[in-house]
Amino acid sequence: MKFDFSFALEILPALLRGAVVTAEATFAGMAFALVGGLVLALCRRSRLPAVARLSASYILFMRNTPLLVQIYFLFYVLPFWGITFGALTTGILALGLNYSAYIAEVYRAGIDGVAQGQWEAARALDFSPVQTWIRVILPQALPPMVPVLGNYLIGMFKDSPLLATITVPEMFGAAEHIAGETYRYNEPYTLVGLIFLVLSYPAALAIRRLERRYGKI
Amino acid sequence: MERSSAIPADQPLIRFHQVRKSYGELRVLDDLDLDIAAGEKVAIIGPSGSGKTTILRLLMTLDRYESGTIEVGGELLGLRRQGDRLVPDREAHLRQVRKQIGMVFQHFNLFPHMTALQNVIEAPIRVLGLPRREAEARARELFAMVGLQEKAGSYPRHLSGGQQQRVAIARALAMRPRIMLFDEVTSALDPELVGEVLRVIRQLAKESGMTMLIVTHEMSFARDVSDRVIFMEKGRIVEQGEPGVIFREPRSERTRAFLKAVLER
Repeated sequence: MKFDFSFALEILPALLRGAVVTAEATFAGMAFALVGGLVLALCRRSRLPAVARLSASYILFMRNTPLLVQIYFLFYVLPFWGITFGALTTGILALGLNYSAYIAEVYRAGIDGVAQGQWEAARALDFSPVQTWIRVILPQALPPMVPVLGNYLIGMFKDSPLLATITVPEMFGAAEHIAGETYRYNEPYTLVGLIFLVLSYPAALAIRRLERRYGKI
Repeated sequence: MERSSAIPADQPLIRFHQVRKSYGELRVLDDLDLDIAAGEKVAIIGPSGSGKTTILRLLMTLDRYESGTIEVGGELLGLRRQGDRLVPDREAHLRQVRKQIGMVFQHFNLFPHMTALQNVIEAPIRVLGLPRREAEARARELFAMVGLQEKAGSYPRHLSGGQQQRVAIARALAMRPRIMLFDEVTSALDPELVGEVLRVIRQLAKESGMTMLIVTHEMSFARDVSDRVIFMEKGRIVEQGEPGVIFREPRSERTRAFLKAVLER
């Protein structure tokens, strides 16, 4: 099999346009998951048993069903109930809802990682609950979370090709489109792999440095 | 250090009345009655699991008690009267009562992401609303008192256990409490570091009018520092009295057995 460099160069702009959509979906999905995960983590700590159990069930469900199934469900089943979003919005929602379950656990591990004595010292010094969180707990809980969250960002980036299945015009979808029209598979899929590698690898290196600096949870 | 007291001189500053506390099946305080006068220095000794530390934790409101009442300065701690019932206190009032109390922990519990100085000024600035300058001036005095002028800019991880515990003492004192609680403050220290911490507390006991409750396994320290020694076992006070009496001629057989065991260690 021959790799045609001029053809590769020809299709590169279309793939890069797809890569922009991939990046959009990843960053928007991650932003959603960071907030959603926080809400889930706080609900799980709630003193109301019903709220805590609901949050725990959601996390259990999301972590034990395939992302692809969740994507299909949102895209094909919700419209029957009159809930319709565009393909990209649905994709972002699916990634965000799925990853917020994982990220809730990251927050939980980070918060549980702060020694009980820190809460007690804050209480003995008469800090308010808000002061305790902002001045004492979060400054200790957040740094070890950073590398873990970075890993989830890369994970989501690599999960994003699944969105092609619901017609989101991201990079993998663009490659499929080219392959379908030209019957040439080598160049588009090789390029997609390379672009993922070029973007993921430096990010992974940066995270390893963060881990060395902040430690793991 | 002492704030003006609103309660009459003949009333205790701290009063435990029939206080009960269990952890699961284990009853750690068994209907405890205990009065402590303003300015009194009380050492609490006894085997582990006897409820000594629980007394301090309930006063600091780190744990809740099941029944009975605790009063500090004539005010209920953690509870308020509603008609003839007792209900959980409002957070704002609870904090007012708790503000009078400071605590030093067995494992120091310094904030690791702050320097020694920040540890000491954080609460005075955030909680008492002191201007930073004033808080720092007070911190400098306290660092001088505990002998750590040089270490104000150090992070806890760069300090020895004894130094960390002295910072923790300064941090508690910076809030100007009327009552100081010391919870086995030398138990986690290497033996050669115990002396420097005890020296600070001895000096504090001698020079300040603060009320002090000291849970300790250091018997000679308990004897020197206190006006009264309480011996506890299984959630009850077995015997209490002047240190000279408790250590030289304890009445209870159990006190004698305990002292024999720890002194012959």
